[in-house]
Amino acid sequence: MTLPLLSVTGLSVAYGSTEVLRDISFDLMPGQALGILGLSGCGKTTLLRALLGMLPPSAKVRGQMRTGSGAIALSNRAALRARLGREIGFVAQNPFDACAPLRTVRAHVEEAWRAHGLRPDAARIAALCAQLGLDPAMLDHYPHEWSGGMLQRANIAAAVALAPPVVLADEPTSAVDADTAAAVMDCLRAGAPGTVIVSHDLPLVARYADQVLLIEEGRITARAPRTAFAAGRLPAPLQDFRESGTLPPARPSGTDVVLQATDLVLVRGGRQLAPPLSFSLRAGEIFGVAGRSGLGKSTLLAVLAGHLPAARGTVLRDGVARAPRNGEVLTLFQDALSSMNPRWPLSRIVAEPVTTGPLRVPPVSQTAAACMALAEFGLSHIRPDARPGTLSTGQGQRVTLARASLAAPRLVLADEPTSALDPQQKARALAGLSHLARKGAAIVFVSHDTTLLDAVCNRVMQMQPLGCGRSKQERGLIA
Amino acid sequence: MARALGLRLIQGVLAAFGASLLVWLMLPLAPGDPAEMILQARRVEEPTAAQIAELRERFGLDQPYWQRYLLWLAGVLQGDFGLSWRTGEPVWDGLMRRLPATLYLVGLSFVISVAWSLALALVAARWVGRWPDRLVLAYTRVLAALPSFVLALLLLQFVVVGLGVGLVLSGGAGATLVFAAAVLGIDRAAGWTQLLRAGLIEHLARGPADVARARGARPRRVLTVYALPAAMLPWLTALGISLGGLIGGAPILETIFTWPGIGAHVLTALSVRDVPVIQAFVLIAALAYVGASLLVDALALLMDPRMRAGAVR
Repeated sequence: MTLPLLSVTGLSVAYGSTEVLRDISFDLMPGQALGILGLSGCGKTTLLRALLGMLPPSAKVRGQMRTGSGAIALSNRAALRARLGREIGFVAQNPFDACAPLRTVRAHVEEAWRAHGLRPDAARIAALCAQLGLDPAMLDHYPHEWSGGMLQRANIAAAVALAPPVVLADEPTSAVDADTAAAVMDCLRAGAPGTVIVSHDLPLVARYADQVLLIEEGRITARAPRTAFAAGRLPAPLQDFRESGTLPPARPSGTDVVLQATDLVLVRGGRQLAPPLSFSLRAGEIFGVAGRSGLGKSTLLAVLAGHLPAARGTVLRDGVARAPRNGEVLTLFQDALSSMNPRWPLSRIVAEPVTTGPLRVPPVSQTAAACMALAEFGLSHIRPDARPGTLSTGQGQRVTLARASLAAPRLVLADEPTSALDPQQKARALAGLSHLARKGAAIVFVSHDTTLLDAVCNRVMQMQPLGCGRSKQERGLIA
Repeated sequence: MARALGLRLIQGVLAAFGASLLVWLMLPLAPGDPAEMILQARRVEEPTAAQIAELRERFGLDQPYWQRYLLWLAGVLQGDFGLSWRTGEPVWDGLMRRLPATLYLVGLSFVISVAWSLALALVAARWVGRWPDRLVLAYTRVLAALPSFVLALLLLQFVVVGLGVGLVLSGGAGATLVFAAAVLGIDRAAGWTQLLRAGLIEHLARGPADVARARGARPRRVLTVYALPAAMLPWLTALGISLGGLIGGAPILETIFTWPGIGAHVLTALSVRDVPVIQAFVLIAALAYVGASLLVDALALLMDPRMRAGAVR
């Protein structure tokens, strides 16, 4: 009988009297990948940090873990940390956030040795580069000079440098685009004998994990082998999890042309990014923009917002070439929380457009207007005097949607607004976005995820690099 | 990198020229006739017309402004700041006799305060929320709120006079130097400590530190290798700004310690409106400021690869 590489029994974590994880047990067999699925806030991250011995001292941890060197109590953080690197590797979610910006990527990889006071093994690094498809010359460059996908591979190289039998990965592909996600997952599987992948991305986990655990409210509510996905024999909680992410269908758009772009040429750093673009945006429609990073999606948004002039071509707003009016264009960001003043109460954040924009509301009714907008986006249970710090990422995105709905913009520019959200939160945010469209805004939805765009957009424009023949294709036109 | 540095250097030279123009403008913009002011500086209360005419001739006061500025600038570039109105001796000689003592004091106190704030901030960040951190915080709060001359006076009263350690009238070297420098340095370190401590704590909670811990790095390594370099950038900027202000702020403190530096000289010049001396001192202080900013910019460029890339673009 083969022994599991990692065996966790009875893991519970509590902060005071609040239990955030209860009785988690699982085994990881050699050569296998275990997927741990769950919505944000279900305790996935706590589980991972408990295994790394990196929970704050205020967390009460119970349970046992067994690795190659024997069993250990999970409350013994010091002993757990002694096993890090050698027995347990870790791959963080965002590679740019994981690497120190002042140090070269080589230093980042060598940390695996230096953390234990060892000399870095140049031969091992070279071998890892060959195995994971990294360019050894790039190692002496700094993280900001790397692409996200490649940097995540370097992260994996650092995680597996001391050949730990188990690698724990926290949403390893959520910060890289869809094309490179597959390569990153292959590297991860190739790097270590056993992998634990924590994610909210069910299709990804279903593709790469041999076993899937679903965690809901701190408990394991379902386990399934990979074969169950193909056969469609999923336990009920996993089935519900899959369906909770069902997206609202696109709605027919209006006829008003809000913006007409003709032969738009985007330039960054003196270099043309993509062939000329022509498109029109109508009131009430969701217009998808897809394409890999570096094709000028953000530059396009800046031009549409009026922050940047187009290098060539025209942008007509309501049929006239003019700058956008105050309050006409509104941008939604990927990281919604960073677009809020952390010291303001939500009512003030949401009501801000009606204090500065063309539509004004007298101060006495501003809070009421904010509460109505919050309720419109399913946030009526949140106190209007709460601060943004208390929100989850998904709630934060819906607060910005509520703010946008009060502003009543003609044009909404959404830059990857859902990529940080779990399926349920994503579905809610998308419902909010189509609610905005229904109220008459034209919405430009930029994303890597073409499947998502096809599902929710009236039309999708695929951005192509220069020299790839046609400049764009439009699909799925719903008039 | 070289280009970015060159750009900073050009900016620095432009700033120095701007400063020289402003400093020189002190003379024509000051109320009153310079010739009479010169005589007043020499305690001549009711000058005769002949005396005034002779002075105008000697100091070139009858030439147009722009010519006088260029002449003054040409002199300054050769180390000639003109003649003191009070004594008639060259301004440069008077300053150079006293500047070394000031530089000793200022330099030593700067080194002490940099080292002290670095050490305190590291200790505080290593044991955040525990007693070493609380002690450091309490200490910095008190000292940051206390003007440095108050601390200096208190220490003089209790340590020098009360305990008989050191000398009230200092000679400009030795133990009194270290004492004065330490008082100034420890006082100034308070704000820097708070800045660096906050930066360290912030960077200890960021991704790179977290990942280093997940590789098995010990707390001390995470602190010194990951948090410190990142937290140092804003701290260095603050150091640079203060370094520039050190020479300008020297007169008050030197007066308290009766330090034989530039301070008393400049205060006398101020009280009798000896404009050339004041001009020279202000220009030296301004140049120290420009030089310190240049130094900090160069250090930041050396440390942060993203800034190197940004400057080349």
